[in-house]
Amino acid sequence: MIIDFNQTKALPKKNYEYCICGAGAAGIALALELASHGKQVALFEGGDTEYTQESQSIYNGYVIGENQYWLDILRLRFLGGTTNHWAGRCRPYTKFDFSLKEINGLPGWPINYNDMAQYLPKAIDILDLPKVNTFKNHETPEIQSDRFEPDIYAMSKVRFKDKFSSELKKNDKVDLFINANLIDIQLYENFTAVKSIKIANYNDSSENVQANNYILAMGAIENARLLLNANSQLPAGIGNQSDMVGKCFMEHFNVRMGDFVANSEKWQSTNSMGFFTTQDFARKNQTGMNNITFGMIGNLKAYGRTAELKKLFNRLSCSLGITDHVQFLYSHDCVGDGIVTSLCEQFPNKSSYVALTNESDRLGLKRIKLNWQLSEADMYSIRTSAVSMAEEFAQNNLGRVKLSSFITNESEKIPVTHHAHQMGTTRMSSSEKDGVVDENCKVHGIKNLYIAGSSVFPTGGGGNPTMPLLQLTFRLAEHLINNA
Amino acid sequence: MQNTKRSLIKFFFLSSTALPVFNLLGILGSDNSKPDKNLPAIKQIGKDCFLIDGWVLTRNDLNI
Repeated sequence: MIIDFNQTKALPKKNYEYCICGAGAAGIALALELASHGKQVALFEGGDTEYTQESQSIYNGYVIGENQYWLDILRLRFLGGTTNHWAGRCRPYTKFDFSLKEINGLPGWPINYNDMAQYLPKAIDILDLPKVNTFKNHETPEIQSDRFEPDIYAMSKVRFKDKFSSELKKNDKVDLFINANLIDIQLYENFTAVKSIKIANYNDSSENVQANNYILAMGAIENARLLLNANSQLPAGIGNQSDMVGKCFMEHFNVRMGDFVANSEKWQSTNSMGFFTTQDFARKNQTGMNNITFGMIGNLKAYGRTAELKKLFNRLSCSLGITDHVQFLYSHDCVGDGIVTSLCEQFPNKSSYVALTNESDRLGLKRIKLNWQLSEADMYSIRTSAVSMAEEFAQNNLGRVKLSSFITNESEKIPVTHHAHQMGTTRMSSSEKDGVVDENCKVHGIKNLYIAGSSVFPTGGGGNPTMPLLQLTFRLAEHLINNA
Repeated sequence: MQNTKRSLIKFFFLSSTALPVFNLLGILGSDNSKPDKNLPAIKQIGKDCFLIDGWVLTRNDLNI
């Protein structure tokens, strides 16, 4: 059943076993998995069934620090969440991802590879990926190297809204409320369990809802934001006794590592090659797991109202051979250029965080400020991987790389952009001093409050987060069914 | 170093894109009569790889 809280005077009073806040990939997967085991679920989505500016504007916030981020456009706030515009790339985590003991004074995963791997088939299934030979090497030739290997991945076309809307409508175990925003969490007097949550619509109405268990599944930034905003009983917010809520915001770094010239013999049947650090390389060099992609520019790309002007400028610059000298006017590439891009793991560090500002949104929630920061370990990982990959590219005679100056000059700042992969703000840890949730995704110290999604990742790995967050979601579902 | 220049020229002109021509000018200088002191430093970064003005080249490229 789907209920629009904007059109309803009162929410139905039911004995819900679970309240899930957020109907993106994690929230929908969890709701349907619990329902399939006969559990009664209330699923609250802050947005509508389609994009609305009213809902999306709740995501507005501030970016502080030197690395830019687009809080309002890299996430989507309506049914299906950010899967409504995700690219669909899936890559499994490796054993190495779970072997990292400590980085930047913080522990790695408190669970092991097999704890996650057993839920991979369910994640593959929900993402409509092939059940056998799921992850393939696309276009990239094998190379002689013990440091890098061809990247493997799968592409999902699943948009959770499209795939599950009709099922959510007819499922009698799931009540999906749209335009239903979580705005507060109330604890019992001893502060060890959630008593109720407050849900608001856009017409200034709100109601308290009760259930046996509560799960936040609103994305890495909003999960932390809600815990920090829920400060009427605990001034620092819920789960924040160690000041870890919002800390260790992670992304995957998109770094333009350089340019390359191709050996045409090796590039006859492809215009893109992707390589991934081997686990041995990462272990020996203490780097993250990094994907490095070599792509040929096939078409001029220009966006915005001045696109035609940019294209004209681009053509002139490229044909006159003055590209290198006019980049300060307009950053561009020429057809035939090869560029080296990347998706690099970010290690957790407390200096990279989300926190509250004093400004409130229309629902009364404090907006956030994001300070996205690289650590020394990140910079070392990026530079080491870039230089090593350039060596392998040359030694395997795929072409030759000209590295960006910040790769070889350590005094230069590394310019990073995002991959729209927010992670780590309510990290999983055995001890509450190092994180926000325990091995079962339960908030430390609160016996019926759980978190689903990539905010619980203690390290980011080198794979896109949607598939592993779904693995964790199915793991959480099993825990809830058996224990909560 | 003259061998190095020749090897670089050979490599870049055998390459298939327009990009290296301009980088070649940047690396070598457009005037070949200039003394070798104008060449950028070569730094060995791996067993068989060298870094020259950002380019990562092999021992064979440089004929050394």
